[in-house]
Amino acid sequence: MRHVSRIGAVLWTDLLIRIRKPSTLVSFLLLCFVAYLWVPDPDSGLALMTFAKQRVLYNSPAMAFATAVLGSVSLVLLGFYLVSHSISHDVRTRCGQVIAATPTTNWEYLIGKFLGNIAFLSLLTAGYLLSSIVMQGVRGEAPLDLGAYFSHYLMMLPPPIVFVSSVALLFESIPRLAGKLGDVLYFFLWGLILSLPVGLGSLPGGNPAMYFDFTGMALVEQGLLSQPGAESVSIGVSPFDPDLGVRVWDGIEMQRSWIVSRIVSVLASLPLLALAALAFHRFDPTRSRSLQTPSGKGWLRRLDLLTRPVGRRVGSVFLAGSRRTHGLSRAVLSDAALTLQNNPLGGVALLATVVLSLLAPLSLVARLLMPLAVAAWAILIAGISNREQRAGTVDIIGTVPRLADRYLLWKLGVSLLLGFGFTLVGILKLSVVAPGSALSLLGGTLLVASAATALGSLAGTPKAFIVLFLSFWYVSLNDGGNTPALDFAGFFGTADTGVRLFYLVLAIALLLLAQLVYRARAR
Amino acid sequence: MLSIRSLSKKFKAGNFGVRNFSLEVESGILGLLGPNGAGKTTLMQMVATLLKPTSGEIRFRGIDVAEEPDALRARLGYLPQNFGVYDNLTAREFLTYIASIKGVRSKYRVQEMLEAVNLHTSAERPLAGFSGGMKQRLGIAQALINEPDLVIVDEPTAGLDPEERVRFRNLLSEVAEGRLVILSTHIASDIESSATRIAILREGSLVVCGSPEELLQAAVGHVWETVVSSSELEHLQSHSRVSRAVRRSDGVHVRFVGSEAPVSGARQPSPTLEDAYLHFMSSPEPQGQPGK
Repeated sequence: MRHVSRIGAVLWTDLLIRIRKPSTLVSFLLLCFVAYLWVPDPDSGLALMTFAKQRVLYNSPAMAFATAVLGSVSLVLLGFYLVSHSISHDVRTRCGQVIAATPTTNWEYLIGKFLGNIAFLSLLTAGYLLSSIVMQGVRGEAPLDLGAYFSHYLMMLPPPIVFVSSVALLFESIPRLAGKLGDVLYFFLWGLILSLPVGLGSLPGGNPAMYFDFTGMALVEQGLLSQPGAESVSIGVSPFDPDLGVRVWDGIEMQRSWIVSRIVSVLASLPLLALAALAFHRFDPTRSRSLQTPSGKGWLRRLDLLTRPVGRRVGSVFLAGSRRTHGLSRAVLSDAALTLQNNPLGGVALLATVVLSLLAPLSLVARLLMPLAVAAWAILIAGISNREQRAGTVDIIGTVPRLADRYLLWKLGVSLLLGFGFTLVGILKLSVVAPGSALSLLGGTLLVASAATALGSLAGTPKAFIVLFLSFWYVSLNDGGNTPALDFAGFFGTADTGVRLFYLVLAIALLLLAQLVYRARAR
Repeated sequence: MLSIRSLSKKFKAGNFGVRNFSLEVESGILGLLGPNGAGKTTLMQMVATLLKPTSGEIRFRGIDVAEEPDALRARLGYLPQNFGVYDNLTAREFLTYIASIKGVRSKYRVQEMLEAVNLHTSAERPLAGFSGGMKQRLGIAQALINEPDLVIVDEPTAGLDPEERVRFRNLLSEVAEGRLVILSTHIASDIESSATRIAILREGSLVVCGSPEELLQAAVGHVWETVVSSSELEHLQSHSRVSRAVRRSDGVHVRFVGSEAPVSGARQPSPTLEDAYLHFMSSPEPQGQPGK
């Protein structure tokens, strides 16, 4: 009975803390907005789902299927960032040490946290389901069938919820993966989880990945195989050919074997929880300390030591510059130097990008080097605008004349300065032969710097920016320039003036929003 | 009640947090006194079962803590250094959570503790709005909620104003009835009036352990007071441990610790615990018991 009581206490407290965070309300509103975006008005020339450019009628099975698929893919990515860092929170507040000094077992604590993750993600999923149902009320073209929604959501979403809840705890239990490195690595793991089940689907003798199909992609592939026009299915906002008419589609036919594979996919996540229990530090100060300060003799530490001389040398260039200036520019240069000295790998990446940008042919610079450089730079600057919040030095900044008033401008300056370190040679080379692409890269640099500054300041952690940027970067690169609107930094040379203007307005809007919130908080 | 024998903690970097530490104490308040880095927190974390010793033994009421940590955890209250809280919870919700975690069954216990630490009027307020002193009081409430036999509080008065410190000291004196309270600090006045025994640590080792009276007695004859000029003060500082120097119109009034007076005309006042602390910290070797 005491086991249940302790697990229940951890679960309930975890849920309560999360529900009361302002970011939960933001996430919930975003979900509603996303559901709205994903079901576009067909008069706009876009539809939720198409078969070979033929639009699918907005009936309950089609809408339930498409929104469940999109929800599942997003949940595996965004859900991780929403629920991770719950153990780190206990480390930071030292409440974890209080818990560790009680008879609560590691299993009780981890199961409580695991169920807390599940409860929170289920709540968000329920909100998303409700939003999708409402969208059928708004845009639907057939009577509402609640059964179709519940059956599709039940089929698609439990495996991602359980998987994310387990893998987040596993990452948190391994001190090396509990911070920014884990956040970045998980993004690539998500890409693998997304593509592997579909890739293995072509193997002879069935798809073994069906049983580890956390996103449900293998199931979607199986379900659509027998459908006419399945060779070109689009789920999500996509253009359609109105001349082909509207296709009435009643969803995929559920098979008993699929239910088994979904149950197995749920169970397949549970060993991750066992691994988390094995790796869990139980707030041992010598092990959990590395959640905040990397130490030890691991490969990361060695790499850090190896690159430190170069990183410091690059940082010292900015430091030397800061000594010759005053006011805001001095603060910008000092912060840039600090950023590179704290992240020597970033300094090495900057140096390598400059050298390679000078030596490599233009096509390689635009399509390969710049996308990688922008990603490295974005990860480097993700924590700049929230460093003071995390380090507890906000009050010290407040004592520097006029710096607190110009906080966002200062942080934007640092991000841009480092950004141009990465992209300036590319911009200059492109401006000779492709001025449009050079302008897009310039605009992309401004957008990324603004987004990092604004989101970092709003969220107080680098996480929100990292996940949103990497998702967008991934979609943009995967698109390969086919959709000009996604070519935010001119990597593929397809963005036009309208696209550039849109991103410029977006950058300014983000900064204005962050400034408003910053001022409100300061009051 | 608590027996620590030959306890050592060696960290991966090769340095010792605690080295060959032995101590036996009964109920009351045990004050751990020492400079930063002396090993107070490491020692407390090992007793609180958070950290595993490299060698040695900790027994509480005869039970080997390393072998049966849950037997101690059930009777333990722990307040870590720099204790934080969940900002989004109220004081009542936080205490209810810790009570459930500790297996406390009485539904009145949370209210009792809120009243004991004088937080009952703020029980429904979010913790984000609590002052440092209120958070520390909540910290002691969570440590005491399971009516523990052993209470470990690590630097509990850090960041508190003088009034809050006095209140905190009195609260600890009250709860020490019939149980053992281990309190670490580097401020001698925090434990001078309340501790029944004081252990002074230096570089992970026990320098001395005794009652406040024993420590004070050991310092008799080693504390001096005199009035000197500014130039004499420099000479004095280089030859003995100056515990206080106040500039007045007739010169600098100096209080210092040393085996003999380096200046003539110095008088010997009654030592304070701070004097005793400085006396033992300036001793070349650990002494174990005062006077030995």
